[in-house]
Amino acid sequence: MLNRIVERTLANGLKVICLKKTGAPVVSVQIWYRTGSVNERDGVRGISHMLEHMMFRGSATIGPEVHARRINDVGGHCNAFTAEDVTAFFNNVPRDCFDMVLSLEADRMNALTLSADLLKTERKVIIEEYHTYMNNPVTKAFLEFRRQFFAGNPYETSPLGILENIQTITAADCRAYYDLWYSPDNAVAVIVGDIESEDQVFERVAAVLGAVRGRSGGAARPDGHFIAPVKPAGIQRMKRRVDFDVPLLVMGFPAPPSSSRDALPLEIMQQVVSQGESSRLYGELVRRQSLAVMAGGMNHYLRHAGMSLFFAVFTPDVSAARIETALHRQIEIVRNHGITDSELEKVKNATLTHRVFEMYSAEHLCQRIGFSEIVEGNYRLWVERLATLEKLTVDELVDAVRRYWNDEEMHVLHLQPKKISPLLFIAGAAKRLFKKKVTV
Amino acid sequence: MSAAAPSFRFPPMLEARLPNGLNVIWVPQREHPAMTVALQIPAGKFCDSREKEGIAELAVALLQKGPASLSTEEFAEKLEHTGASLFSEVGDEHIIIGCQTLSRFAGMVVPLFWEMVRDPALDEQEFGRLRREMTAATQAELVDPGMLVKKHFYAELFGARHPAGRTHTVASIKRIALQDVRDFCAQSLFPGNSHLVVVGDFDISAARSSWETLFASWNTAGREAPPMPAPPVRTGRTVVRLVDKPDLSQTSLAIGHEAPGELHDDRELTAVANYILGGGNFSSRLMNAIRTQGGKTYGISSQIACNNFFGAFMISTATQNRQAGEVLTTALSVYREFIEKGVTDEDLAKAKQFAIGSMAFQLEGIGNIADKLLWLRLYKRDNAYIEHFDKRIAAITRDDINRAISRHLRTTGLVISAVGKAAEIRPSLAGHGTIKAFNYRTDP
Repeated sequence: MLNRIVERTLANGLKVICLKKTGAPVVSVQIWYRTGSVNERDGVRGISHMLEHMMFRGSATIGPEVHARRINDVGGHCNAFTAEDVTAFFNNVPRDCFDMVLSLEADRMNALTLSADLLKTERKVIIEEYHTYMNNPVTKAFLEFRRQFFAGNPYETSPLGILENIQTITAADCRAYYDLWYSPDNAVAVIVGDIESEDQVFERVAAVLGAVRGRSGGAARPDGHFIAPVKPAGIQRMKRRVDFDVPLLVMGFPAPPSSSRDALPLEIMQQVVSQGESSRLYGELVRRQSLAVMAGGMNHYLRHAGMSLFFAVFTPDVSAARIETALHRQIEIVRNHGITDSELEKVKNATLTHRVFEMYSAEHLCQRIGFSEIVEGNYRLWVERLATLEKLTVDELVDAVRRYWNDEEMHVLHLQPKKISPLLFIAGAAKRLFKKKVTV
Repeated sequence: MSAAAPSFRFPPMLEARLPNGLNVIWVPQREHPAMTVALQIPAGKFCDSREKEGIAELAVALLQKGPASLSTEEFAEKLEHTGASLFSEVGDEHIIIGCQTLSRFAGMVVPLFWEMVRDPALDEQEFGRLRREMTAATQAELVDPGMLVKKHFYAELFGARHPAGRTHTVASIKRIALQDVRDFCAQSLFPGNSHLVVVGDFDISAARSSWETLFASWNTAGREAPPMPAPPVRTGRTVVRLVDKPDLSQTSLAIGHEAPGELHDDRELTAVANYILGGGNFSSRLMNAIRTQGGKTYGISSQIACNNFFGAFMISTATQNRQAGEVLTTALSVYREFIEKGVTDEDLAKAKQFAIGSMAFQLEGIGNIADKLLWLRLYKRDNAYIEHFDKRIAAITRDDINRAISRHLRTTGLVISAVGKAAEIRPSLAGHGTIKAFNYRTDP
């Protein structure tokens, strides 16, 4: 099905990617703008997220939140998110509402209101959202860890921004940001669903979104102000005492940018190490050694950099040093000895299964295409991933690990509970005694 | 809309009850080379013994560690090697256990899944591991004000004497023994009254000849749980459960009362009314007043969570401590006006259009088809219930909705649950009802 994806670039620079998918009478229309927190300058950290909110606050012809209401009124749903490299807007509607969505998206791409009054109210909403995240001590600590990990480059601040900046960003700041980044030549429209034909889609999109003119006036868009992070001198450790009853250890290594040839090999290795009950971490730390209660990991790929993260949740009677050693040992083993052919086969099957189940949802397909096009640089990288995966050898996977999961660039976060529940302590100690009896 | 043909039609399917009582629904859908198999059992958290809340969840988790014939590692390796995965859902009155797989591995995965259901290992070491995992997850919930506020809301609304008012805690998990889980499995997991959906890329006659005997080989006798009675209707003064968590800059609020269950004749009317009040995101009155106009919250919504014979209506939101009282007052004022004035024709037309339009998404893909079929059978409904959904919704009048609002919604005798910094928010909550104070570490 994916070989039927077609693309065109309109005269105003808007790229349109389209895929006909039957199975349900619905269509997903997503507009992905090539901007996110990486493009923010000092003093306006959080403006990308603010613009995302303001995009729902109306234009000269449409009132505040009317976009969302019109989508709801036909049984659809819409939303948006702001990430480091991208800001994306989603609309999922019954297929006969396709034209309505195009008009709504063209309207906000063309003439957003951005008044000081509306900004005043929306700023309060954004501050409420900020507090919702910051009231979670784990999120708060992780954002601090991320600042250390990406120290010195724009990824160090999350898309949530800096509260003091959010409080002072003006309507004029928003207008300048909107004019520079929210332009058709800086956007990709992805359309997947039960459409009549691709030609009809291109014709409709050209008539509606193709009529939007850019407002950047030819101003150059800085490509992320990106500065490569300074390599730390040895392992960086951060310890925080938090109001969270379960000790947690996070280990992070650098990962390549999402467009890198190393991204896929590293993703495979991440899955072998951390995904599922038959993974290395679960098998060793949770099952065999009974050190951790849970263990896992993930790669966070960005346009210019990335993070490979591993974590373990444990009981207070186990030292963080022991957990760190055990986690690190698993990394060391795959770095030195690679993985088995059977593990590679398992990841191939899991990837294929995941891909097939994604095919059932127009919204998921849109998301994958949009993300890959903007963050990875070309949606074909995602389309061809299974074929690329088939060709990879274990040696290539190990090479990638050796390039990125290096001890001298390792970051460790230890969250230690402020209060230790005696119940948990006793349960943990008893567990190990029991384990000792049955395994020795 | 055509009067003759339904707007939503399930794909062709075959439904048959096996000799062991299991109802099997076969739905070939050959769009992609994948399959979903999902089993629904009409037993859930309400079956948990008092003070041992968490049994049903532990049982479902332990079941998924595999059959007695294989070690847990062997089972995980065998299943995950094919890319297949298990999923589960533990509701108040039902459990769903399922797996999804590429169709080319179904010949191995489906029998393996079924062996897990029919003859689970329920291993002692795995039980210990899962109990620790559940304990840690429960401890971790203490940092989630949204979770805490709901637990306290339900505890106050239904009370400790009713299963809907109880929830698992670190202490209740600690009291659960492996035998409790084994007893739950023996008594509650059995084929009679259960439904199995097989949906995806398969040939129906080949699949039936391969798997029907297999599915029929599950012969646990079990014991049917008695129907759950509705809790008594609350009367008297509003109660405010104030849960102190001093480190919070925001207060999470839940406001509500009991509501009709899924099988009540007014269920669809209350669902449409709820969309207009607070279920409809930016189209709802609560969102418009408190977020769009006031900027006082990131989100506010209302929902009616239903079991067979009773439900709970709840408005939920979060806002900074200093304005918690103001948001509560505004939300109650919007709610009061909604009850007093009812809905307009315009509100109703949009809500009906939403209900009808959104059905298309609920039948997209094999996972959604399985979910919808199991949901129907849980409430003993056939496919016509969905296939004629649009006609029933279209026939609803403004008078119908307003009568249902008068019958089932009210602003007296409420439960208000608030999690925040008590010293800061207590004065602004005091006028709303009788305050009951808790610390966030106290079990609800």
